[in-house]
Amino acid sequence: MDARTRFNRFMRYRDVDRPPFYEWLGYWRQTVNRWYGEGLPSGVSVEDFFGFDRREGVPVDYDPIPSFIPKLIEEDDRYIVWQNTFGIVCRDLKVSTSMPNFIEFPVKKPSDWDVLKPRFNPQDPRRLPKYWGEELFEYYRSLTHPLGMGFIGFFGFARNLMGLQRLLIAFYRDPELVRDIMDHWALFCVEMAKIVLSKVKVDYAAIWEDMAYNRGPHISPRLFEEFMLPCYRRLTSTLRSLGVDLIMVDTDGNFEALIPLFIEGGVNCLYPLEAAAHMDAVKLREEYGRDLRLIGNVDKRALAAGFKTIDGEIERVKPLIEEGGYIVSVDHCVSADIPFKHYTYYIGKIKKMYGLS
Amino acid sequence: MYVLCGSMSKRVEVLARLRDAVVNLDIDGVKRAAREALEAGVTPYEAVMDGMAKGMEVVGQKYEAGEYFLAELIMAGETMKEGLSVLEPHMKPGDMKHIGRVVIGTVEGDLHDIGKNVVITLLTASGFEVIDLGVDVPAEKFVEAVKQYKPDIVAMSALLTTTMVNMAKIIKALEQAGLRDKVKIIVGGAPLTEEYARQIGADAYGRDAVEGVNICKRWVSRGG
Repeated sequence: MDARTRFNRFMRYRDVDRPPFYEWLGYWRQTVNRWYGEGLPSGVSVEDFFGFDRREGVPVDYDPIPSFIPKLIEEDDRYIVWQNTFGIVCRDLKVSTSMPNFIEFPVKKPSDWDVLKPRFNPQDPRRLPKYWGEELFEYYRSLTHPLGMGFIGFFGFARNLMGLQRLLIAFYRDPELVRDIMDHWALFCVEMAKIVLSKVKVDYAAIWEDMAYNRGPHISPRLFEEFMLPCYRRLTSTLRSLGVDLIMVDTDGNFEALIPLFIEGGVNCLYPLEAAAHMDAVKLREEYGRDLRLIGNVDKRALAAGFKTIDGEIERVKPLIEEGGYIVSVDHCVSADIPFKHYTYYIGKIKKMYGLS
Repeated sequence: MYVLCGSMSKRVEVLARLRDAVVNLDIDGVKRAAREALEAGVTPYEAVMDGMAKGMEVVGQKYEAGEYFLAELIMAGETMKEGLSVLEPHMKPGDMKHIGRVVIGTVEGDLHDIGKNVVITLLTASGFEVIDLGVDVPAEKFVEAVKQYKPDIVAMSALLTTTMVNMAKIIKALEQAGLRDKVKIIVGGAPLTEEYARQIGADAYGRDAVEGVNICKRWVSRGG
């Protein structure tokens, strides 16, 4: 059975030869660098070393076009301060792959958005790769591994433009600005979906939001319902009309309070389900049933701790793996405090369960 | 007597309006109430501590009850800032009597600051003087800050499993500098637990900004 067939059947609870085998969120660079010194062969990717199933995404450019010029603003021994193509000024540590510190954002007031809006035109052909054409479509048709289409979500897009603090304040001080940004983005995503999916069949759509932290979502269900639910309905109904019925949302943190609204908005798969934020895939399956697919939730702290806690984690999620509709993965990027031998042990256990060598 | 009662009731009324404006995230209302408070002879300090800060307490309760979320916490801080913009020009040096002093920072190797900044907003609203060391703060800088500012409390934030280990280094550095028993230490951040905080020798763990600030308030009211 090829990986594409396996993925599509497994996520629909049909019989498969074995569950899909992925580390869905990948690894921090720091982690891989550490592992090169602990037994991962130099120059070999983690994915190839462990023989994970492959998956691929349709490359769509969601940056403003023309983009901002990526440029170095300042550098010293410890930091680089730079502007990315979205116009966000970031400060990064040279020595690790911590999340950057976001210093400045392109939209500080409504007129900034008015100026920027035309740069988000879904019809701009530069959003698609230069090789967009029949040869690519045939390649995608022939794939034996899953193909996904990613989207920046509505909260994610507004946060990229304004920064989290300014966005959260804007829900109250400038709701029309927030509404205009999210509505425009909904229109953009719908059009982008039509352009891509009229030519290409994908196995899933994944929408990146990152709109929660360990104590809950950044916004209330009330604000989600008012500002974001209409956007979700528009996008997911378009996706379904174009043959995509596995629609995922990626948000860190504890977003339990929003799950009923995500479902109402047409989403049927959630990840990465951070354990430290008290997300519990087993509990979510009990509460929402098989209609809600799940990915992640293996506690990275358990992998750091040792073999016994790793065994405990695998035992905890095993019923979900056996039921289907759940892809076992670490609950975010695999972190650099996890020794290679622990991760090897963990993957070894998963592979043994799957009957893989 | 009647006039005194009248002005007392006006004071109580305007302080309640300040409080309610913060609770209801009403920026226009808080500025209006702040102006009315000054006209009614309420001191800026009273307007802050007996009006707006009381509102922030209610906001914290609503957050803990799951009625308010991060957006409302931040908006409440913003509302209070707008009220302060009306009151501050009328404050004289020394008018704001702080209830305590906190040195706060995100630990070395970690650049996250949203959680820390929410804590700072709530600490300031509660009457604390806050010295913000920023992000990526090494142990030596925490030690220097304790020597320089002599805070009541040191607050540390970390959002990564790989950086939270630096909290133990900071506590050890304070011990070695003979400063550990001069401060209370509270820690917070996504990967932390109560148990971890205990293991590394912190005095408390704040599950979130509201709980953390409530712990700090209890410490200073008990004299640390």
